[in-house]
Amino acid sequence: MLLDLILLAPFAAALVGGLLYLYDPQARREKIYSIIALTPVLLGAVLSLVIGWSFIFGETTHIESTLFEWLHVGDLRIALTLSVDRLSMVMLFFVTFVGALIHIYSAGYMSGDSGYGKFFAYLNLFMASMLLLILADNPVIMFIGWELVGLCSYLLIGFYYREEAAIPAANKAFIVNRIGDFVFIMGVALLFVTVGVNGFGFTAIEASITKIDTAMLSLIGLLLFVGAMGKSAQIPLYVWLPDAMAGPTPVSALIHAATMVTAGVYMVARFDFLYSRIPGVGEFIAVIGIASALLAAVIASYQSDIKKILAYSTVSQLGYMFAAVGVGAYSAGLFHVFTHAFFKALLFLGAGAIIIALSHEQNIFRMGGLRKDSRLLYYTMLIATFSIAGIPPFAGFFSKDAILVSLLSTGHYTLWSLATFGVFLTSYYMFRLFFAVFHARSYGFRVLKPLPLTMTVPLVVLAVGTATLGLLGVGGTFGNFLGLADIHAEADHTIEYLLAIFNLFVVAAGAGLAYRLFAQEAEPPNEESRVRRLLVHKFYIDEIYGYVFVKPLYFIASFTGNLIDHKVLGRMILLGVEGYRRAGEGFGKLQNGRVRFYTLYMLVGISYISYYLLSILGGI
Amino acid sequence: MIGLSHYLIISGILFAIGLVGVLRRKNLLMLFFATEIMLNAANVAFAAVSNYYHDLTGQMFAFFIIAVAASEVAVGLGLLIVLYKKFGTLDLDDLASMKG
Amino acid sequence: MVEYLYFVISLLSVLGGASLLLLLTHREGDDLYRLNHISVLFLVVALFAALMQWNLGTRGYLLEGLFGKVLYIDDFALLFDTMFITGTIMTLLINTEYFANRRYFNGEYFALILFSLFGMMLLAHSHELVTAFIALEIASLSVYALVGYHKNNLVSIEAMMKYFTLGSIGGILFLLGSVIIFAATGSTELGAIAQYTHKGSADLTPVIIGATFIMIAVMFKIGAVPFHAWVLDVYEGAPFPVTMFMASTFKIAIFAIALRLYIVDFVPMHGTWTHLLELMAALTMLGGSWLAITQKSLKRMLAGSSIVHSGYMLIAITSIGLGSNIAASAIIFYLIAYFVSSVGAFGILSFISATSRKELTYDDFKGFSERRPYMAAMMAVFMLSLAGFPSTIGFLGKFYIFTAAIESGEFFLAGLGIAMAFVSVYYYFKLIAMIYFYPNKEPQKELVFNSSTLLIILLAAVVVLGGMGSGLIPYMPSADGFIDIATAAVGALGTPLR
Repeated sequence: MLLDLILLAPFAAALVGGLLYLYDPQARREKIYSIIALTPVLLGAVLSLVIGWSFIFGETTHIESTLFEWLHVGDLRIALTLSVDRLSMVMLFFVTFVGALIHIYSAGYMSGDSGYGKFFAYLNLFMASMLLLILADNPVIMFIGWELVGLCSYLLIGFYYREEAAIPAANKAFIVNRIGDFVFIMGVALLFVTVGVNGFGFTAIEASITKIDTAMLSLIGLLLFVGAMGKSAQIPLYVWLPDAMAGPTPVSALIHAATMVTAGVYMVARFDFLYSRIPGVGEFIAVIGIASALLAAVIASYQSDIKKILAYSTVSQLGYMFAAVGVGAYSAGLFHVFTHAFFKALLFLGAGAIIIALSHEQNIFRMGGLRKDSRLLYYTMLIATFSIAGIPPFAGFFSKDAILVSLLSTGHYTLWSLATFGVFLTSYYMFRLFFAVFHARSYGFRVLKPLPLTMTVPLVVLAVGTATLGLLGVGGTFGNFLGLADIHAEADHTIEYLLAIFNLFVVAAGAGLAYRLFAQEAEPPNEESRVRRLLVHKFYIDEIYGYVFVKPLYFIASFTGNLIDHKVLGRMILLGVEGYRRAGEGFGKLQNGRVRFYTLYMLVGISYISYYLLSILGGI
Repeated sequence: MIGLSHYLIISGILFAIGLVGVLRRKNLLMLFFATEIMLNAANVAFAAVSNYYHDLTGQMFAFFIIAVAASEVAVGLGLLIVLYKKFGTLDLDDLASMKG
Repeated sequence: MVEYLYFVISLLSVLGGASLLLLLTHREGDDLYRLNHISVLFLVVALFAALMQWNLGTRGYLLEGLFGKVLYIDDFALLFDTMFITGTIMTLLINTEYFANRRYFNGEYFALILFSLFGMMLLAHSHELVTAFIALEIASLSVYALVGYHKNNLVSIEAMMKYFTLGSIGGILFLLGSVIIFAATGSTELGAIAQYTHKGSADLTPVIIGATFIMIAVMFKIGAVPFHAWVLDVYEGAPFPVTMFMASTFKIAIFAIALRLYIVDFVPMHGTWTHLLELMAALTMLGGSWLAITQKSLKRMLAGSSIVHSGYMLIAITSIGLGSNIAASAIIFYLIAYFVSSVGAFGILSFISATSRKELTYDDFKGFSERRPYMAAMMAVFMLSLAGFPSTIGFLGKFYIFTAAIESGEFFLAGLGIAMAFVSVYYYFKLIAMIYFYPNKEPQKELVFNSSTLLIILLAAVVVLGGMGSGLIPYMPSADGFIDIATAAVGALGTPLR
């Protein structure tokens, strides 16, 4: 079965590669590792194209395959069933495709690293887990994938474990994700309690969703969304994503931009039948999304680390997606997930290439004038920047436009205007990055390291994708294909065109501002005014979290650790242990070896029991 | 007229004598006597109850119990001889090497 | 008539084997290997006969034309038969070397073991109180003799003396209870007693008194506090194979009749016993763990811990009385779990002591992991299981018992049980610490593959497999399988008698 192969091949590759690595971690076998890692991923991409072909040109709407029954406890019957419908087909397509390209890119990027084999084992495991998440037929299996991608993310963020920032970043990502996951599993459990009896597949839940009353449904929806907040880095659980950039750049591209972080959006779209019944929660999701989009965009405008900027832009773009699915425009949100995967992967891979070429320089204000040094990087990054800013005919324009139209046509005018302001900011910070890196005055003489073919080919392929795939969305082709429970609010086509033109002006304004400020003389943001300091320091969110959550926890921990645990409980436990031992010795004294005493104990027992019987039976 | 209760009282007295014997006697042989008395107390009760119900099974049981008691004595006397050979005494309080 | 013989093949095989062994011995210098194999042969026949009838829904009186309604056969009895026979086979095969290295063993030893097994099987099948008493005495008298088998060893004789003295009192209490019940109900047949007690109109007071005496006898046999004092001394004094036989097989034998009585006949009396059982369960767990933590000898430690395990079973018995649905199968499952783990633990101990003369203490296990790495790993598995560590069968056993306790509202007992499980970690893990964290002074020994080691490995596999979910290996019961077995055995009891 195709699906089993798509899922199991990367798992097997992770296992084989991991074992090979463990067998001799010192051995340098990059070729073998990359062959092991790339084969299943490329195979997956080809197979997903085959499946996609049968979906688009054939009659197929649904493929299903049960691997085995995973759990069977009482009413709970969970089979490891994989299924593909149109929604997961889209996800499957871009995850395997972008994943394959990033794997190829990694083969060049990671070359020379001592943990080459380990890296690919993790990356393959991630691919497998992500596919499990996408292909899962029921929320429990989905949750397993959900947890596994979190684990892989943790492992890969901490990949450079010798660097100071990596381990705290990995821990932060893991802990913040765990908060979300915990709430998520509560939602799943609640869902199971309410409708799980009639089967727990997505279709079965959809069939019996009407049995849940709205209040309960809202609660479930909220709980599930909190899980998505963690995974997809939305306010207030977004803080881990910028730090996650401590991992290798291909990881940032694959996990923290293109695929894993969109899992939250996918989950909401997967539960479209649930969320379309609770528009109130949807509004909340949209508000959180737009707030995240704006906040992240503002912070991104004042950063100077190229990966951090891209990370905040990811948070911001995810915010757009949530805004779309929140108001019920699921296919618009998914379309943005789709296009975002391409242009954000391209941005990250380009950034990775720049970083490698400049010997691990990440500050955009130390780059400058790269245009002359590398035409290839210049044009690919230009396409990506055009796309994310929203300039036609590049992919981002169509998807972002669809989101804005859906916000306006459903009557969310405030959200729409805020989103439009976000478009301006996006354009500003992206062109700021672009001009600072490629146009601004060069920082003197330097020699760029040559980029291997494995890194440049994926860039070109992604650039082509970014340039063309947006056309899929023209005339709602993409949305019609998905067939999700979209809200029906048709806007007038004239308004749509006017809106597109208006957006273009907004984008141009942002780009123009960036050009004026950064194209010639790129200055890093100064911290002169209080407001700017606030912005440069990302609103001090990390510090606030530190003070509000972490510090008190540390205090409680050290308080209990030093005082209560050590002085009070420790002493008490010691006393308890000692007392227990004494009691044992005392009791042992009764065991004096004389059989007549043993008889006496028995007689005491018999006497007590007789007395007890008498009192029960009413003698005394 | 001697009824069931008289027999049962006799049986109870016998049982009590046996129990006291088990507790008080330090000599293993005496202790065996005491347990035999207790077994026979049960025998008396079985026979009496059997008579009361006009049902012979109880008296049959008494025979079985006598057989069991005999085999118990067989094992017990064997033990007694070994003990006397090894320790030279049958005093129970002297046999307390394992304790604690 | 003849067709009924099919059902008694296992009983007959054991009895015939015992008698044959009695005839074959009487000579100095018996070929112990040969006698061992002969007895195992009879046991295997018996085991197959018992397994063939398992789960066929067989239910009825055995040889009714001959004995009347005295013997009964159902899945419950068959499960106990299987456990007894398996335990005996394990005892005989694991200790092959032990026998060969001791001069005092001869053919009678095997005959006695088989007679004891016959008594226990008879106990499992008995459906009448005096028969149960006689069966119990057959089993006990053989075990008394086995405990004192090393007749030149003072400790062994002392242990036999203690066990014999106290054990005969226990037997007499059982008999006394039977007499009182006989007087009250006019019958000693369990079916008739059940009819009497369930009638509703009858005065239950005398029955309660009689049943309580029987209960005391049961408490004595399982070593519940305050009837526990014999356990440590007897376990210590007996030769290792006998301790193994007692701790694993003989200890659970009494449950065969006790559960039958308690679940079927004494149901109306459950209420009167609740507080008593609660108290005794708590005392037993506490007392057992007190005795276990101070020991240096492993035999005494395991004896103390076996008292604690009796305490856990008493929790389950209390829960049955309070109407818990799963408590009955929980206790059977726990019996299986305890059986497997303790056979394994004692098996390793007696396997090791086969070639050395000393009594095993904690200190003797220092550096054991380097001397015998495989045995050490398996010992650790058995200790983990006895302590109730997850992914072993012991954990599931405790889990079911505590679940049953909570289901029936016994929060205090469940809490105390969990606390005692934590305490038990101390004395079990002390051994694991000795095994793994101390340097080795003696040379490493090869793992010899013979019947003893293979059986120990098999037991360790069952312990681990029994702690895991579904059946991985066909025909090898895992957790699900054992739960099914326990439920089936209890199900055979629960249905009303015809």
